[in-house]
Amino acid sequence: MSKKNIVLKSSNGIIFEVEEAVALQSETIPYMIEDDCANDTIPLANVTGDILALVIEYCKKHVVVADGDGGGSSSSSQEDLKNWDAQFMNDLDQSKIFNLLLAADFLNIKTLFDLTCQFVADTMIKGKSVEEVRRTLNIEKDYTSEEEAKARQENEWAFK
Amino acid sequence: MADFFSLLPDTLIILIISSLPFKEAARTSVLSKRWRRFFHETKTVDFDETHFIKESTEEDQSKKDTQRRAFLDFLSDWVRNSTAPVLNKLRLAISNPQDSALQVNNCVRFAVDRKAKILELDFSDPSWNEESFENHDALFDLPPFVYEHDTLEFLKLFSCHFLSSGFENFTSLKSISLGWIELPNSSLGSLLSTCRFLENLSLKKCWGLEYISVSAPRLKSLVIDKCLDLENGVWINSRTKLRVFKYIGLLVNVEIECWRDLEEAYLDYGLESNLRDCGDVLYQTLDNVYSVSHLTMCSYMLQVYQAFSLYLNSHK
Repeated sequence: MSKKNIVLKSSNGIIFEVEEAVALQSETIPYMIEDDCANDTIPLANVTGDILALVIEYCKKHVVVADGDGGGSSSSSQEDLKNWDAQFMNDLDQSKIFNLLLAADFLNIKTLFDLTCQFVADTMIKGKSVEEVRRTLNIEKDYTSEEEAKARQENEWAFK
Repeated sequence: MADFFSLLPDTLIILIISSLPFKEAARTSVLSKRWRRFFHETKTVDFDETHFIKESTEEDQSKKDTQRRAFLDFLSDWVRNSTAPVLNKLRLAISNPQDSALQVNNCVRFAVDRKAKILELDFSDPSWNEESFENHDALFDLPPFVYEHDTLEFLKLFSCHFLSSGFENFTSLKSISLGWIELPNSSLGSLLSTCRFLENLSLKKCWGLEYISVSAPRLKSLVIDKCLDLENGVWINSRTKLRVFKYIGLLVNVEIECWRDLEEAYLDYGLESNLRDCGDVLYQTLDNVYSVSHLTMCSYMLQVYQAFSLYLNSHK
């Protein structure tokens, strides 16, 4: 069986050649293939090379083997994937996470997008004080003290 | 450090907030003026009475009433002000829903209108004892409009009456969790035959069953938690390729015909108060599950085993 490859080009001109099944985890790419000529390089103007490399690394790991050879995913491989995902996200700095989130959104890769959202929620917001979250996410406090007290009062139950 | 997150579009921040537990999401409204708006757009909503009514005030009825009113006011305001076009999940946990039927109905209506894929209605009382044999009659009926919600994927109903015949509209339903409810065997049977795509079934503190008989080709996981009147046991027929089986309660006969597909079994007989003559039942159950890759057992089994060994030794 011959495997069809797809060529992707990042915004800074780096070329990646990947198997079709890997690329098709993005729901955006099929539209781009339809629009352009199938054999041409697909330009991804919103994604830089280092981020595209991460996206491809993720998609290669998550490609579903759709053959009859016991292709069903067992619970142990599900667990392996989960551990792999956790390690994958842990190795990234904040700038990469931010750009990965944007790339997953643009390329419409739902599982990667959900993973990144959940990672941001769990590691940068959950269980942290308001001050800590502001620091971590670099959010400017534009409330006056009175306004902040009022906002806090509105959802007083959440601070107990 | 560059201010990455101020560059994120609103839609993405809302999805990040939707990945947080509701209480944590509420706290983000204090971060800045921009973030304050986002909380009302979260797609993951969890109205839990215990977030407002603190256990320490259990004794003080007037304080409890005030806190409950604050909870209901918050809930009604939220439902009125939410700007989320669709919801992922809505959970409502409130005891004595019949006393606040209007607010409860509005809240459920809101979940259905916004097409919440996950709907959890928990009307049990936190003071009920899970390990007691006492049952508590449900005092609330699932509002009829819920049965029209055909994109529902997960439904949890605790202490809430429902019509199993109404479930035929739930063509996307994959998981059902029922608890604190009288569940005659005929209801469970009709539920299983109606929801043909069901993958996960969880029964907690259900009574009136006598036995559980399951024939559901797509069912992957079955949890039976403290259903204490299953004198005639549990029978899973060969069409059901169960992967996960979890049982907590009294020692009863369990027969899983298609045990080859079972990957995970959890058996907890911690509610048994004494070591009765149960060797056959244990043997039969273990014979069903010996090939699973994850087996969790309670200490009751070890106690029975030990008692049995001592008995054998003393009769040598």
